[in-house]
Amino acid sequence: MTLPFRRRHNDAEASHDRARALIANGFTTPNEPIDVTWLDDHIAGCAECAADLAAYAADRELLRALRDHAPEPPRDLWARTAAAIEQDHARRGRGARALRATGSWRIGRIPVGVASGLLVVVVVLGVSLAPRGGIPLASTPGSSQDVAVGTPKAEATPIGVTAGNLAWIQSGPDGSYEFRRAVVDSVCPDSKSGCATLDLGSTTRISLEQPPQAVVESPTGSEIVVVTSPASVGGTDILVVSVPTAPPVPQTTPSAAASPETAPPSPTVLPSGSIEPTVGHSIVSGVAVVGDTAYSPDGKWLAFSARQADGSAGPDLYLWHVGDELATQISANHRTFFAGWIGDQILANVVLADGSFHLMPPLASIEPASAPGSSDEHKASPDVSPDASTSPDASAPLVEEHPLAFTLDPATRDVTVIAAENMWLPTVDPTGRSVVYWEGTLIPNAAGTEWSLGEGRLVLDGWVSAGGLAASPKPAASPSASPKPKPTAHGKSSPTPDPTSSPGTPTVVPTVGPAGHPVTIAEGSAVAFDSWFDPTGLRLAIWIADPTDQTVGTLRLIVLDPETLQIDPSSDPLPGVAALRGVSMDKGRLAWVTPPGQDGEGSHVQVLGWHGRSFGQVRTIQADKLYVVR
Amino acid sequence: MLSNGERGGIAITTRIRERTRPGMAVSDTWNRESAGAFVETLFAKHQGEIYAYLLRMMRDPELAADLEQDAFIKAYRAYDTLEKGENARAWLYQIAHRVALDYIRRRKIVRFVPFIGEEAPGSAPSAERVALDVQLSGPLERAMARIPERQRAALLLAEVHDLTGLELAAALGVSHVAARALLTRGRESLRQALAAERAAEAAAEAERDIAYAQPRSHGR
Repeated sequence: MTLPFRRRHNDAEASHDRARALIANGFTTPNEPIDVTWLDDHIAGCAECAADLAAYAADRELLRALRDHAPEPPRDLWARTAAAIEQDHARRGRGARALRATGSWRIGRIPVGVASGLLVVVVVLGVSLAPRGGIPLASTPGSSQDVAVGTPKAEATPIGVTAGNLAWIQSGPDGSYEFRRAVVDSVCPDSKSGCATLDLGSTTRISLEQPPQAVVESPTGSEIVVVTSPASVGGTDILVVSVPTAPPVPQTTPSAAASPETAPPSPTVLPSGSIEPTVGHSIVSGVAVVGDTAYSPDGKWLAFSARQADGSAGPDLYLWHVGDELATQISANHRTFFAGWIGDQILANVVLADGSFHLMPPLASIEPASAPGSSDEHKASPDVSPDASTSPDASAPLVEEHPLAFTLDPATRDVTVIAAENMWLPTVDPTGRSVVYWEGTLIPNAAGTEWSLGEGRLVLDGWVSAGGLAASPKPAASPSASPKPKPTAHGKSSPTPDPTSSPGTPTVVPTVGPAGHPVTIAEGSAVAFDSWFDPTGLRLAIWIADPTDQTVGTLRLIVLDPETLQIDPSSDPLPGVAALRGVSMDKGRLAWVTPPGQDGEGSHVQVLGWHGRSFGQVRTIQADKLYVVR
Repeated sequence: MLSNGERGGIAITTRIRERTRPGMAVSDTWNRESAGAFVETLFAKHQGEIYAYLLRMMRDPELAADLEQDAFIKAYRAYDTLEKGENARAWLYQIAHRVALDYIRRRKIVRFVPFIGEEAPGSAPSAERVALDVQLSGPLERAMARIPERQRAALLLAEVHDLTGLELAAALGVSHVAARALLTRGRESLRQALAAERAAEAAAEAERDIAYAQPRSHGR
């Protein structure tokens, strides 16, 4: 026989190894007689190996006992599988005629046992869809049955929601792009039956030379910001495009339990907008936008991070004051990432290579700056030249680096360091009670211009903001004067002021930051993720990129208990669906774009709406090049 | 037509290959009705054991169902690659095994942590969860989760799903010798993992005993 190790007969340890291998092998196939003899002799003189023999036998019996337990597959599995095969077949080019010609996949051909199981499922589903005390589809602990996506041909009872307006961009028939709005006022428990699609809405044609990679709507609804996909040369543009303001959504109390007679909801069609394409104006060009782009809650500012399109430097923070001509570059260390807004403050990260922390000196007023690449400001201004202390050293060995989170006042440029170690891309809920972030390290590329996630985990924690953000009046005037924050191994920075720090340096305020009781949401070596809270802070959407294609990922909605702000395990309305990058989260709904090819169809904008603990879905018609507006 | 589920004494050289790709026409030799009938029969006969295998591999009922669906779709696409006389059961296990390993490979990058274990005090676990716990509980579940996937698969297929040596090799997509070596290593890994789990459980129990034995100094 072949043993998985080299025999070393003079080595006692090797003898034990050989004995164990022979014992293990003996449970699979009979050992050779010579091996059996040797093993018997060895075991006779080796109590440890005799114990191993007994352990192997016991473990095997334990394992074989599983034969007595046959878990039951879901009773609708055949229906699901048959439907999926049918769709797979249709998607692969076979015509409808072929589908009609054979009945082998119809329910009538399903084996009797499976068919009876299906009948039970339909009956159970029908009962569950009936209104219960005014609240349909009451959550079942530990189940995801609130959203019965995929069950074929179930009659659905619409659920009234107050999701309001939803906007998206899709490519028009002539290749142009259309900005569309529709009102989402009801959803169905089953997204594929019962509810009409959100196939119409007000339409505004917009002129884009490159397809969008992200679209953000201003809080006023009067304009959208389109981050275009990178062109072959010249990087991306950020365009501000005026759009018709959405009419107010009637504030009717949502019907938690629409009567069974209620007709399936139809989309509210808003008046069409202009015919001629609307042209936006660029606030920055020639860069590569990195990560999220977001308006401040009051709509006065837009923040994002971007790096040089040629990849020669890492990202910096940019601000655009609404109404200005161009965005302004705020940081100059090429290591700064925009994370989001917390009230009127920017939440951002800087990657610490050697503990240095440096932003540009604040400007006395918000001066519009030319976009890098379109003027000479970036190269000419010493304030925005690369920081020598943080310049990448291509010859340096790659090591893990640590992110540091901070807040920045967009008006005063005052900076406050958040007292938490390895907090990367935090998202604080709009009510300021919870935060979700990647707790881990970062790994730079060889040039030190890009970072990937190292070891870590995605966590949910409470957010402590008692005492407010103590921003310093004047940040450091030079990199050399910047202090080194002192995060400790316990995740909290030292509250003791650094005696060497000069006045006006970033301040560490221990009362602002995560509460220190993180709950793991996802773990492993992520490549990319996004997170969003709804306005109540009780619904959290997490998107994790597929490792092989970062434009596609898995989206999950997490429900938080309103009392404890912890994950409510009894409600799992969206356990994980495939979604393209870019999700819109708002009051009462989560919207995303499904990847093409799902269920044999093209992309849709899919909406998960809710009222209380009732969840349902509705979607747009199939279209190419869909982009949901955030 | 194949005699589904026939087993034993058959040389297995099956290689699963994609018959079709998006945008490609299906081969003329591929007959949809035959494929449909074949997979339907296969499903009726083996759905339970394939589900059980995937459930024990993945420890997630919903995921196991999804992967089983994927496996049968692949079987439908590739049914004519199963040559006459080959073992349909082992062939199906091979597809399911590859589907599971492919998912595990992708999930290793990052994965959502299940809510299980974070259940609110007093909330009842789902019936599926209870059932799963009964089937694969305590130290054995944790030990199986700790050993490498291929070894885990070999152990489950050989000891629980009772595949013969040749079937095991076919299902794992390796040679007979390699399958046997995988199984041997799996037994050793399981022995070590179970011993570690039992030791950890005993230590935890001892700690609890000490904690209960200490007088309560706080509270009213």
